[in-house]
Amino acid sequence: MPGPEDRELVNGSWKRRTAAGPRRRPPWLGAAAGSAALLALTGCDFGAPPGASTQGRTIADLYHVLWYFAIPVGVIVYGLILWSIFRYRKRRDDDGALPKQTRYAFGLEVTYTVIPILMVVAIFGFTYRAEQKVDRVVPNPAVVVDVDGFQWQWRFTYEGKGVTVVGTPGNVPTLVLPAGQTAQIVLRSEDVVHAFYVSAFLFQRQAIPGVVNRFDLTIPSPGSWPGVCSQYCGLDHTSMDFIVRAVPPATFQAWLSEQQSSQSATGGTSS
Amino acid sequence: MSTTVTAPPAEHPKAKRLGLIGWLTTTNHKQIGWLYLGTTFVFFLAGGLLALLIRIQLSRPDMSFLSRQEYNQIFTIHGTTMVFLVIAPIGLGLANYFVPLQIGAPDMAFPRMNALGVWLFIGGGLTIYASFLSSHGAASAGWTFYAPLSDSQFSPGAGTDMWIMGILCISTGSILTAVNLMATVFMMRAPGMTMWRMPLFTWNMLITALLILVAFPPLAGALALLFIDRHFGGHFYTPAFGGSAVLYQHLFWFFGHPEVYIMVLPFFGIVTDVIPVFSRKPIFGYAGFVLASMAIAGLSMAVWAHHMFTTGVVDNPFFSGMSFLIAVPTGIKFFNWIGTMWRGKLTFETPMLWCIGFLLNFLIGGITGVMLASAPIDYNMNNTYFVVAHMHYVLGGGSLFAIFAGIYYWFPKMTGFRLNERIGKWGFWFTFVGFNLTFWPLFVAGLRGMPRRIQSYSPSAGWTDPNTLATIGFFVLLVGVILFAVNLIVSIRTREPAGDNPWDAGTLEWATTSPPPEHNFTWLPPIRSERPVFDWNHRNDAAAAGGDGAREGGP
Amino acid sequence: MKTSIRFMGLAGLFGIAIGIVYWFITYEPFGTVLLILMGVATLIMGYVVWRRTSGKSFPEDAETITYAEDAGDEIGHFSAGSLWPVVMAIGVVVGVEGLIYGVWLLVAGLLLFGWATVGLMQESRG
Repeated sequence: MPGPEDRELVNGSWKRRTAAGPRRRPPWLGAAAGSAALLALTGCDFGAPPGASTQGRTIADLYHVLWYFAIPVGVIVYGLILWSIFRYRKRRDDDGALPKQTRYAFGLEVTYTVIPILMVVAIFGFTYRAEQKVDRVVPNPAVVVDVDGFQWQWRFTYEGKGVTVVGTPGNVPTLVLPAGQTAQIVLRSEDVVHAFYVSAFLFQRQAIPGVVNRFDLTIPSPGSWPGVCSQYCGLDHTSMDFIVRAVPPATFQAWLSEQQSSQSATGGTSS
Repeated sequence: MSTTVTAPPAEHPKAKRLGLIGWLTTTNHKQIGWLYLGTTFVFFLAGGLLALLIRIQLSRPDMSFLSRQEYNQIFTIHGTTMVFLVIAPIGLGLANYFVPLQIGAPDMAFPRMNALGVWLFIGGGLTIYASFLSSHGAASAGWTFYAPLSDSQFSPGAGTDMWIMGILCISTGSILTAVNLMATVFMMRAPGMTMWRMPLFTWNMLITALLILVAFPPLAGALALLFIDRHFGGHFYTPAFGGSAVLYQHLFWFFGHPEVYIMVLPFFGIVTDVIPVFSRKPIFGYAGFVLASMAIAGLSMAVWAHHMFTTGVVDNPFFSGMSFLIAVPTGIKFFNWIGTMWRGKLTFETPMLWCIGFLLNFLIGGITGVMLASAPIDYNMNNTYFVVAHMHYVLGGGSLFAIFAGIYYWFPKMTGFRLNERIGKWGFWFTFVGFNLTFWPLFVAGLRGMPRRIQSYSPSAGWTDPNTLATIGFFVLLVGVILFAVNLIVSIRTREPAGDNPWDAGTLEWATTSPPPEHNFTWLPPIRSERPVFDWNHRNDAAAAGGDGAREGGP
Repeated sequence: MKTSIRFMGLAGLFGIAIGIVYWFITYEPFGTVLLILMGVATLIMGYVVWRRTSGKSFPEDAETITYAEDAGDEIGHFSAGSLWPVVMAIGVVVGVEGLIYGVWLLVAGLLLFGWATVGLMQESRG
């Protein structure tokens, strides 16, 4: 049956007749939806810890920035793929003619080469700045701790204090540090490659035999966080855990004195 | 157009059946291709079984389904299998079968060396699996095999040595096959098949071959030095005697990063051959795609130490910058694929479904890869399940899906009959849903700090839910793989004839019979573009190419 | 053959250039050596192809050639099958096990490898 003049039958339903063919969703709708989603997500952590150390906070911020690039890219590319699948599928009433056999579009190809280059240059800038901050070691930290990894425990030696803490099977060692001050870790391995990783600090560094790695941990507020060995190191890699505990500086000094006296009395280390 | 071209013959010579000796002594590229495909399928099932054991062990906290010794061997051999014995060799196998066909050649340039390559691969793989029977069991240093852990002091036992020797055999076979591929593509193309008219699977295999040639020798060197350290008093990797543990990482990753592109470029090529067929349009931006592949290959040689960001001894900004750059040509390819589908007439037979799944999965893998390329981000994510999820998205969700696309697409050509469409579609959906259900939660686990290669975890770590979900997803994925095996069996029983060109595809392999005769072609169409069979079949259709098959665009 | 030669020339020069850039940014010796040698190796391949093919034209590079024009040349010799590749492979695999399990296996492997080498050479000549 003939329909109203401004409508046509498409795939069994009536659509408004426009100069460009059946009505399509307005192109700005996708961009608006994507932007709304993006704004909603700015309050989101994207699954990573917020960063219990200042270095970790820098990394978490960079992580969020990368998501702000990833989301529009993902939305646009997914949108284009899904749009193609739905809009350009062969209709049941297809006449069998070949579609226009477009092989290239030079301007478009240059555009989608140049814009990603600009984006990665920007991402590189953010990355470089963050890395300078995270990797910086200060010349006069509040405390320096030698961290030695070995199969399959950690040993923490407080330089110049005569205090050593070592883990034993079933007894996870705790690295006590002063909150609000900068601690410097000097990381070594006694045998194979290990890695010192604290997820809450979004940070890890490998302990490689023959290499001395140095990094700072600045923990603003007291707390206690688990750490693991993140470089596979053999049979009991799974249980090479440790804990980092930040306490107020006065408590830290008290703990150090207590450890010094108990360790010089027993002549050994504590766990 | 020449008037002396004749039509393809109606009858075709019957392929002869091979006995055991026939298979052992074949030098025909198609049969060698079958040897690769059959062997890699068996290794895929073996590696998948190891993955099943891993996922059971990690499904709940504190499980002791596998002991630590067993677990460490299992994840080592799972990784080794999937990297060295499945993904890369399937590329070589499909290349063996189809590169000569796609360029109009009767065989590969060096047929006997071709056979040597596949037998070295099979021998190497069997050596690695035989190591489970040795006194200390299989190697357990991770597929990355870092020194000093892989040295004799920390990994005594023949299993570790058998791993080294197996990999050396496989490497040699790969190098020989790469030489063969390059010589074949350079010197054995049919008249009129200029380099810029080759199908993109062939282009990508050529580029992959160059990558193999420059990447595998450093691996062989790294392992040879390791073997000398282990048994001949060497100290290349022992710092106490003047060696360097970091040297191993440099040598390994100089191989290791191009290796992942060796495991992905062939399958980009397959997807680029399949999408145009089911969009009824030529590939969009042929020249751009070729240049992008070259850029990816070149850049991939200069980014190896992004696997070493947390060592503290490499220049992180250099490697971050180079790694970010690789995102650009990969993005170009995505726009090539989308541009091909754009304003096309898409149908969704099983090969195309797998391609769509590839696009959706690989995007996630690619975006997370760009995140990992940022060194400070890698400080958080390195060696966590975030990396595990990323790599499985690109290699599983990406390469494996593209492999299935290639198998469904080319199965009719190789056998003469079709794979069942209905089972194929069910298999795709189970695999797609199962795959995402398995690996998306692992991103979450990694962001919550779960490291790799741990045999168990405590309930208080917060990693339980993602792991349980991943194991459930794995069983869904398993159904998909079973459906593929079922499809093979059902299709072989039914033998629904496919004809020479069931998909109306355009590249030269579709100009011959299904399966092809021994030396591939008794007739060839004129070659004037990258899709000569399409041009020939649509020569009376003005819409096909704008005239007499003259190629538009590109050099 | 222009494209093939350009492809390898470009790849080789890229390797050398990146190697030089890498050295002056990082002063790291392992990667520098790997990159530069990779570039040199690729350039050597390109050079060989160039020397072997310069001055000749090839039907595969001709954009508008017909099959009638190229008819008659023998493309190559493609063997019907050969025992020697699998024998050689067995020799290699057995031989490397000899490095692990004992010299006698290494000897066996070398013998098989030698036998296969002779067999392959005889096949080529015959």
